[in-house]
Amino acid sequence: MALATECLNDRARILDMLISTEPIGSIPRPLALIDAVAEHAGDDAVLEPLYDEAIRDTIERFEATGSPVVTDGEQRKYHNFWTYSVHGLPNTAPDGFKIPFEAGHTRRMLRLTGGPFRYQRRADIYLDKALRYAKVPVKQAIISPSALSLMYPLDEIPGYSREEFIHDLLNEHETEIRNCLQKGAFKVQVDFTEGRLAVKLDPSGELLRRFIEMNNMALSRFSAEDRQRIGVHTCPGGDRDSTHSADVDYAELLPSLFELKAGNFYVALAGESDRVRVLKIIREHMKPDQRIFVGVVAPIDPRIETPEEVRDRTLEAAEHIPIEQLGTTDDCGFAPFCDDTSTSRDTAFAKIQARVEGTALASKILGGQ
Amino acid sequence: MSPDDEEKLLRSVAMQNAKSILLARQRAEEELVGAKEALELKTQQLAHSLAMMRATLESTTDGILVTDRAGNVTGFNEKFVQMWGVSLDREDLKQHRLILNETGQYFDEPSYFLERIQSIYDTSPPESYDLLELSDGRVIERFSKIQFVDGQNAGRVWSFQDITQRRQAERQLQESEKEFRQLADAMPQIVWTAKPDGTVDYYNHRWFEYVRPDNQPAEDGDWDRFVHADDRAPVQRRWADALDSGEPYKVECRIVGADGTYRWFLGRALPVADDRGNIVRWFGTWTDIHEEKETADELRDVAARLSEADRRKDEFIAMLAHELRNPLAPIRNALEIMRATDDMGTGLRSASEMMERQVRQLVRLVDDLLDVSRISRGKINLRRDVIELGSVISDATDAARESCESGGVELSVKPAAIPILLNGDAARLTQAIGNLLNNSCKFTDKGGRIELSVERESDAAVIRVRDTGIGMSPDQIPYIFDMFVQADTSLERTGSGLGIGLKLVKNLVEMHGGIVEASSAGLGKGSEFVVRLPAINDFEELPRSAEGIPASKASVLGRRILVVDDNLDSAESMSLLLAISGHDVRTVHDGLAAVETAASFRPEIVLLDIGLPKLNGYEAARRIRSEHWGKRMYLMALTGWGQDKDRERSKEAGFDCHLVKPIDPVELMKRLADVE
Repeated sequence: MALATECLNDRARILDMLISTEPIGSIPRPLALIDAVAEHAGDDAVLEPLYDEAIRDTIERFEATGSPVVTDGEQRKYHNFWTYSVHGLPNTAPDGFKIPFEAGHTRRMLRLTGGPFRYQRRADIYLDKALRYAKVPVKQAIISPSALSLMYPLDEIPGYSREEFIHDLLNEHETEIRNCLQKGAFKVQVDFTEGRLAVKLDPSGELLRRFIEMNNMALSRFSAEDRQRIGVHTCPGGDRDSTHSADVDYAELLPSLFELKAGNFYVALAGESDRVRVLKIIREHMKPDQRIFVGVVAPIDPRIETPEEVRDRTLEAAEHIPIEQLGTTDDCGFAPFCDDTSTSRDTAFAKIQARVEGTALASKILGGQ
Repeated sequence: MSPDDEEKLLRSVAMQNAKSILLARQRAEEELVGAKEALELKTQQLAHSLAMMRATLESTTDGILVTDRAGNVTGFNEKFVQMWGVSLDREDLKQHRLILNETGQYFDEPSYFLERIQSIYDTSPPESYDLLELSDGRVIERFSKIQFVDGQNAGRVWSFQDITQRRQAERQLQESEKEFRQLADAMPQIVWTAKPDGTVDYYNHRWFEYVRPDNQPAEDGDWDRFVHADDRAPVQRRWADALDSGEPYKVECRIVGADGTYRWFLGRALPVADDRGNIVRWFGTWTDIHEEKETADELRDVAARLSEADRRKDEFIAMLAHELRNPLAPIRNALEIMRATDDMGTGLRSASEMMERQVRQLVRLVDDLLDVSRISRGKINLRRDVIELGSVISDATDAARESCESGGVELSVKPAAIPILLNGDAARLTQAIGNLLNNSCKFTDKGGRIELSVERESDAAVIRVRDTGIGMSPDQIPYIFDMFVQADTSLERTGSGLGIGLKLVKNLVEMHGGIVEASSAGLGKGSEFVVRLPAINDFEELPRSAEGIPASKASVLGRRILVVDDNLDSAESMSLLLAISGHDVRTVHDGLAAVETAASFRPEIVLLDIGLPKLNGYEAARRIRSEHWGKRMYLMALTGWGQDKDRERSKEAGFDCHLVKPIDPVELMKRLADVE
């Protein structure tokens, strides 16, 4: 009950800002943690103190930026935003497909070897710890079921059909969202980075539509009120300052994206070459009950945006999106993979601070203060 | 694996997944549609259930209020609002407390009413019942019960039923019952009531007075043990039948009284039904009919004895007539012989004529006596035909004229202006009119006058016989047509007869569908008898009867005739009469001799008496007919028995005709002449 009250108070404070602003999630891990993880398995008990410290420090620095909503920086997610829930499953093999990034590196996913499919862990365990340290609302990011669906191999697993897998996967995903909502997550953000990837893999859009349908099958199980606390994040992927699908036109993604039955959308925009065009597409396809958080800082850009740049980008977005449906965010997580050191923690928080301050500036302007 | 291969693999996996997702989505949609339809169905069912529940609530005649445990109203029907005249708005109706404050005004002591409700709330009994007597005169039953939902106490349902009318009806019923019992106790009969199943639930005092002098109530249902053992089974059976059928109960039986003696009672019971026809009670009585029963038994015995005496009388009269006829036959024959004798002196002829008249009178008396007897026993059948009334009148006056002349009474006849046809028995009507004339003749002194007139009045033939005789007193007239009644029975009036003539007239006229009436201006002022008979209207269309009686064939002499009679005088006189007439006659006196003589003598005609020694007439006739020589013989039954059954019996035995004694010699000769 106390937690709920605090959340309400925090929300009230955030609502004081005319334009909402929220982070995406990941913050680069402290180097000591990265080194330790490299030496030990991700779940090794020896890592726990380092995880705790990293979380505590991340939240503290997050709050220091003035961000009205924080995350645990996904310090505990191993090995990344995509596989945290299935890492360590006995019925998987490490030779899943590879996701190629523009920078030339790849990230290999796990391959499911047998059923039934169950999560190894759910993100609400991270939330438990974050809420212990946070003084402001905490947002929790989770992986989409469409992303995890790529674990099922090309060939049918004997005795465990692809349909059974989809069924189990949706149930696990639903449970993860419910747990997070129940424990007090301010928002539950579904990472849907494979949206643009789907268009890249299947330009006909058929794969994207199926991914949208799959996520909607899960989202349909929630009430409209719950869905106002659920968001979807899409970006071209950000790893080691590189993307996997930035070359996919938003015009091919966004019309379908807004078919998702979520109340919040976190759309990478800062890194786009023609933001206005994207904003127009958003304006054209967004729905009245949807809030659109546009990216105003780009994690893959090593340069730290100034608050004024953020302000201007926000004002630019406000010209196309009604203020009551507008929010700002980061284009992407700052370190979706635990071993990513391309961006420093300081840079990440500096960018976040710029986002917060720039959004505040825009709010003042738009609010006539 | 090259990057391109990796991408191809990823694309393949993704597309495979896409197919599965599509299937999953389609399945989910189907499930959703199914769930939606199921939900819609459940919604409809729920809405229907709610509507039904609401309709049920509203259709009940009880006021219904539903409250939760905290006293909040969760439901009520309009009847409740109407019953209590609640004027609260709908919002205030949500609190039982506010309703109670308003409805408390109906009570002389609202505080008691409110405390009682509070007590129910505090103690939460499973059920409660209160009879509420309102200050406006209404009486309301309040019943409440805990309402359990999913096994949990969800509050209480209160129902209110206005029983004011029922209470009034119950009081009226009690008053009515009281009045009924007072009335029943005042009745001399035993009165009782029973439930629909037959269990007696009430007796009046008379019952206890009769069966229990100490006035202690008998046990319900044991009434039948007071019934006489011989009567008990039928009494119980009829009572059971009445209970089954719902038909009124009626029985007679003996019931033992406190003194141990049985008396006859008439038991009756009627079912009392409600508006729907269901029997709700039996109302019964036992009426003491002991005296009536005994009187009736005595009367029945008397009636039986009288009936027996009457039957013996009729048989006696019939026997008497028969026995009187037998001696008349030879006398008549002898007179006929005497008439055929040429050398009778004047004195002897005069005596002979006088004897003939007296014999005819005697025969007529016997005939009347026999006819009355037969009519009273229903033994006479009319031989109806279309007849002309004039010929009947003519025959009757011809027969009476001699008596009138000998008595010095003038007889005048005024026939009808036009012929009147009747459907009747000419002989019987002649007999009736003749009797009227003879009656008038008997009671009219010498020098008097009898007038007979016939006329048609509408559809009736009216025959009036008016005389200047002794007349009748008014008190005699109503009985003048009764049996054995005489207008004057003084010894001086020796020709009075038996007093059966007018009785016979009345019977014969009524058998023809007519009436006969008598009137008189008083004693010494003559009498008038009027006969009205139904006439036939379309007489023109009916075949006219031949004029007069057809002439008889000429006498045929030289017939071979066998006379059989055990009465020697009768046989000899008949034989002599036939011999004088030129016939060849043999005489025997028993049945066997008759058969033997017939075999040897071979007569053409046999005059055969029925009552014969050795072999009766019937058997003798059968034997003669059984012989080849007897087939063509003409057998004439000659007997004193003239009833229809006697005629049928003689016909069965083989007789060709049946003549009743005494035989009119002229009639006999005609018959003989008619024999082929």
